[in-house]
This record gives sequence, structure tokens and C-alpha cells, in this order.
Amino acid sequence: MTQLPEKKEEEVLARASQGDREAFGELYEQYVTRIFNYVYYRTGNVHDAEDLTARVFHRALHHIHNYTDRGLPFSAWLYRIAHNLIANWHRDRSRHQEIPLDDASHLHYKGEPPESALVLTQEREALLRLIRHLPSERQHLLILKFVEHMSNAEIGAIMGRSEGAVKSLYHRTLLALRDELEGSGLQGFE
Amino acid sequence: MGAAKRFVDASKATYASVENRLAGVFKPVPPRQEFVRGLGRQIKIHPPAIARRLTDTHLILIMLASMFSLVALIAVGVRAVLTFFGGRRRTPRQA
Repeated sequence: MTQLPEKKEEEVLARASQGDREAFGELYEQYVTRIFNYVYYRTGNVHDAEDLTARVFHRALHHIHNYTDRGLPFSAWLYRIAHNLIANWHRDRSRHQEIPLDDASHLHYKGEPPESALVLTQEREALLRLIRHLPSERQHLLILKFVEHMSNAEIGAIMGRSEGAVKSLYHRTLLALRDELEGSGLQGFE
Repeated sequence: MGAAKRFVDASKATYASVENRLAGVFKPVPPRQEFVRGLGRQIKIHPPAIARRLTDTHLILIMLASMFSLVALIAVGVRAVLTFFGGRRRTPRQA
């Protein structure tokens, strides 16, 4: 899905906030994969990611008429809804969800021999567990940077922070992860 | 100067190592197409829109059916209570 030009998005957003469902549908098609990815990496399984992604868009549709442009990208508003729903989801769960092997196995390491693919999957899961124990804004930052490949400026616009603040948070996150990795004894698999 | 440069290089190497690991972990995950299409249909036909499509006749029929079901349920409940606690009536042969 190609990115809508800013002007075009404003126009679509204006129509959507006046109750035009087709316009909201365009926004949905534009952002569904991004929101799904965000929720997927925050929850750790496809089933809950689909459920929460659906709830994000239903809630957005329900409240789109209240949407006011505060100079932030529309995606920031969607991510905020997703963040709140994920926080409720975590609160409702007594134990943390892990990525089941059948969920994770289709993602990576095609062409690897089965044994090394299994090791890589296990290491990947272990690292994801570490990441999911980070504060939510750090997880958000990592997802935007590594899944969406956004620049610090773009991430700052979504997170409501300056570019410098994002850069600083990113470095602190990397350092924290490095310490966690050293403590956990995880081996490299880059 | 040399020590400072070595420190900076070591920091960069550390960051690069962690970044490589993260790049190996985070990959875009495409959602299932059935899910995207199904949710898209729901989004474009929101429940209130579905509700508005119900005509008055449909609404009256649904309400009548609901009331009939409720009355039937109450009747069955009353009958069950009478059967269990109301005592047995004498049949004509017993009389």
C-alpha cells in the first residue's frame, strides 16, 4: 500500500470525520498493516493481534467525528488508541503471552536447515521476551524503527517528542537491551 | 585522543551489534488477507448502518417474535414449577 500524499490524507480525513465510510475505508486500508504489526509485536500472537486491530479500527470509526488535527499525523491517533487497548489487554491478563512456535515459525529463516531454524526461532523468541519487558514507549520506538523503518523525525512526530528526544531514548533503549542480552547470555544471531 | 576514539568505536560496535539483532527480530508481518478484507467490510458497513436498514416492519416482527418467545418461556417455567411443587392432581380413574 502506497502512502497517501499529505494533502490527500487531510481531505480523506475530513470526509471520514463527517461520516463518509468510504473515506474511512481508505484510511483503514492505508494503516491496517501498520497497526496490525504494532499490535502483533506488543501482544506476541496473531490471534490477539487481529482481535485488537479490529477493535482499534472500530473505536476509531466510532470516535472519528471527534478527531481534531493537532498537527500530529493521523497514525499517531491510531497508535494511541492501539496503545490504550493493549494496556487494557495486558491488565486483563494475569500472565504474559508468549509467541507460540506455530505463530513465529512462518515469519523468518526460510531456507535454513530445520535445526538451525529452530535455534534461531528460540533465540528470536527469547529476545522478543526481553523486548516485551521494556517500557511501552521503548517498544513502540523499536517497532517504528525496525518494522516501519521510520526516521527519528517521523517517530518523534508520532510519539509527540522532538527528534533529539527520540534519538536519546533510542540510545538508552539499546544500552538497556545490551545489558539485558549480556545478563541473559543470549548468543548473537544477526 | 586515541582512547576517546577507541571508546567511541567500541560504543558504535555495541550499538551496531544490538541493532543487527533487532533487525533480525523485527520483520514486517503481513496480516492475513481474509482478516483485512473481512474487517474492511465490517468497517464500511458499520453496525448502526445495518440497524438503519431494518425497516419498521422488520422491527415489529422481531419484537413480536421476541415477546412470543418470552411468553412461551414463562409458560414453560410456570408449568415446570407447578409440576414440581403444585402436588399431583387426581385423575378421574383415581377418583
